[in-house]
Parts: sequence; structure tokens; C-alpha cells
Amino acid sequence: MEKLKQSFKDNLLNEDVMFKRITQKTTQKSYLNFVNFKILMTLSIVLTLIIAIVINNSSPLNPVKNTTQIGISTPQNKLAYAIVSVDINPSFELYVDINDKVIEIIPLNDEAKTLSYESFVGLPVQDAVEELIRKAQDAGFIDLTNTSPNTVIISTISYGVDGTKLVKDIQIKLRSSLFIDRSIKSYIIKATDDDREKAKNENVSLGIYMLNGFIQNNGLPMSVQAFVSDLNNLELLEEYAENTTNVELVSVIQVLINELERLNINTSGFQNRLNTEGEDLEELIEDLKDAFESIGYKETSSNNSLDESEDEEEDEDHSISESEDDEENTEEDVEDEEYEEEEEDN
Amino acid sequence: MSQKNTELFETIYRATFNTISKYVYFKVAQLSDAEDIVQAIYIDFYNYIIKKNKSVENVQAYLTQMANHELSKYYKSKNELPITFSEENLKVLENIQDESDLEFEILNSNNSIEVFNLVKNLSLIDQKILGARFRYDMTFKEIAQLLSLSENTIKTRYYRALKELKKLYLDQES
Repeated sequence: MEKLKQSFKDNLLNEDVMFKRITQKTTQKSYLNFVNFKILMTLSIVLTLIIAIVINNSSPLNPVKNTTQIGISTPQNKLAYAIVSVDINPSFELYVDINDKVIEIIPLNDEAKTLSYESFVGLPVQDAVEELIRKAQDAGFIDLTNTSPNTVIISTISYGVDGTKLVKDIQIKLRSSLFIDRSIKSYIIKATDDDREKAKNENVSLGIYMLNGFIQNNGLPMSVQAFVSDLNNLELLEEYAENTTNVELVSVIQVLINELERLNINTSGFQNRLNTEGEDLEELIEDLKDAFESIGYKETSSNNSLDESEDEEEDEDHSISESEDDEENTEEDVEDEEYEEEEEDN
Repeated sequence: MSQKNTELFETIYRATFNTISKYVYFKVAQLSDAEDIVQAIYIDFYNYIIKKNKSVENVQAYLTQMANHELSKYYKSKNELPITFSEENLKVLENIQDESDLEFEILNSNNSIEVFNLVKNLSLIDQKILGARFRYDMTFKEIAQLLSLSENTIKTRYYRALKELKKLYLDQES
């Protein structure tokens, strides 16, 4: 039966045979076009040269071609629209589909291979990134007793689609995460396909490549933690990384407030501060996270819940301020609403 | 093709070819027509999108749209309608046999093109069913849905087609 199967694979719309035929046709067509329009092209070039010389002697005669790549194939031959590289160390490469869901995860080093990441395929990319950082943290890859800042570099490349939403989603998710240790700071850097190619050639992850592009380290790649241990480098990184704007900070605050409300905690004080002009939003986020810590929110729990006993206590102390429907809101719903509002504003 | 364009085109081609070719294959009668249509889709895609550095949000959906366009052009030019099969026209008299009862050693000893040439002698519906099973690794249920026939009909025709294929081979040898 295998032979019969092979016969069909070989002869019925064979992928490789068809590809060869198609590329031959496109090349032939290009050649014919070239012959047909040879004279016209020559004239055009001469004319272009004359115009270029007349207008400006220093005009570039070979302008950089603005190419737009509209997708990239994953190692398993699926079509991805973005790649998100996560450097904790461990390092991972996440392939993302048109709906910003993870379709493939590639561990980039031995440390990454020790973690189980397979179940994160299919998750929205921001959730997968959060889970990976959390896994690395729980597995002890991040030294939480370290006095120097624990840093995670997230590099994103989008292919033919606007990657802004993806970056914002990751920013909001990580800033509002209650499972990632507060000492861990994440930076998002937008990269290009060329950067990825160069990183591959140098056999380093995209994040490491991007970081080392900021500084000269005698040509030697430097780890994320080694990089940020120098305060000057950290400053550079902060300058280079994607900014978290006030819009995102408000989204983060809203996610945290909603979560508190879901736990029946009175959030009016936080709401008032959010509505007060000139309020330090970063400080408000920290205070909200303090509030979670003070009620014993399980930092390692995937259920986003309080210890049962404490939950009961809080029920007595705080009034329910929201309707049941609102309580059912997920973080994603809130983020979506924020984006819709944002888009409407624009 | 420039190197960059070739790489990009191949990436998209490899990622979408199976879906697009399958989509077209089951909408036209002749394999050669399916090949021409699939070829035209990708050549147009290369010329109008890749070469011109245009951006498409969902490549798969865009190519399917192009396939629909090519198929409607094809139906018009051939004055044909999309192929359909009905249970009434397919007399299913045989019982489903166990796959293990069939002997395929003979077919296995033959070369790939010779076997495929024998397939071309089968009825259109049987060619499609075998193509679906062997080329696109589809289940009987999936084929039944695709061809709007019952799963039973598909199974029966599948086993019958295999028998027929063996017979064709033996006839050819003698």
C-alpha cells in the first residue's frame, strides 16, 4: 500500500514538481518581458540617470528596495505572521499565526529544552510568553535573590502585518501578571528578519543579538543578565525597548482592578486614583500589586485565586461593588475593550 | 526572481500548497486542469503580490479567493459546472471488504508512474477517492463530506477501486 500511496504523492499535484514548473514559468516570463522591453528599459535608465544628475549629483542611484514579507514558514511548514523570541535564559522562539496565537515553539538552547512548553501551543502569544517566564522562574532559572535586575528580553518580528497590537498585548499581559515575580523586568524590542538571519549566522538568539547590537563587546555575545548588570547598558536598553505608554499602563491598572473586583475587593480607592489627573500610574500599579500580596494572592497558582480561608475573610471585610456580569470579565475581554476604545479614539 | 522574492514565494507556497491544491483538485474533473489552475494561481500571486511587494493580511484566504476566481474562469471557458456526485448515480451493491483481504504486492512491485497511469483508467469518482486517501491522507468521513456522499459509499468505492486497479494491472501484464 505504501507504494501506491507514494505513487499518488509523486504524481498527483506533487508539491515539488509543481513548484519547479511555477518558478520556471515566472522566470521565463521575466525573461520575455526583459527582451520585449529591453529598449524601453535602456531608455528609462538613461533618462533616470539624467534626471538624477540634474536634480542632485549625490542622489542615490540604487535606492533601497522597500520589501514587505508577508509571512514566514515555521520549521513544521505552517504559515506564521510573527516570531516572538523570549530570552530569559532559557531562550525560545514562538511562531505566531494571524490571530496572534502560538502555532509552534522552538527551544533555542539546552536550558529551554529542560522545560515543558508544548502545552503553550495554541495559546494567545501574550499568555504563552507569561507562562514561559513563569516556568523558567519556577524552575529556578531566574535568581530571585539577585540584587541586580532580573531581565527578560522579548524580541518581535512581524511579517506583513502591523505588529503593534501584538507588542501591546504582551506589554499589558506581563505588566499585569500576578504570577511573574515583581523583580523581573521585561523589555520588548522590535527586530527585523535581517536581524534574525544575522543572529542565526552568529548562532545566538535574537534577543542576545539585539542586545549586543547596542554595545561593542569585543565581538563576543553577552548574556542578558551580564548585559543589564552594567547600568549604562540598562539605560541603553530602556531607551531602545518599546515604551509602555500611559494608555497601556491604564489597561494594566484596569486588568488589576478588575481582578480585585472579581475577588470582591473594594477598589473605589484605586479607581479614584486612576481618575485623578497627575496620578503616578507606575506607582498605582505597584500599589495594586501590593494589595494582591497583602491578601495572599497565590502567586504560583494558575487558578488566579485566593487561599479559601482568606477569601472568606475578604468577603466579610469588603463589599461587592460590581454586578455578576462584570465579575465574569476575563483579562482578555478587558484588553479587547481597551483596544476598541483606543481605536475609536484614533 | 530575486533571491529574496524566491525565498518568500517558496515559504508561502510550501505553507499553502496542500490546502490550495486539494481545494482545486476536488472542484474540477481532470487532474491536468487542476494542475493548470493551481499553477495559474501561484504565478498570479507571484506576479501581483510578491513581485510588487504588496501586503496581504491572510495569505491562505487570499489564495483561496484567487482559486475561486480561477475556477469560475475555468467553468466559463469549458462551459462546465462544478463536479458533483450523487448516490443515485453511484450504484453501491458490494459490501465493504476488509482491507487486509486485498493483496497489493503486485502493485507494490510496480513503479510509481506505471501505477498512477493505471489509476487514470478508473472512473472519475474513484480517482478522486483514491487521491483523497493517498495524496491528501483524508479519512473516509472527510472524503464523504467533501464529495457530499455517504461514508459507506466512499468505503465501498474505495475498496472496489483498489480491486479494479489490481485487475487492470494483471490484464496489462497478460
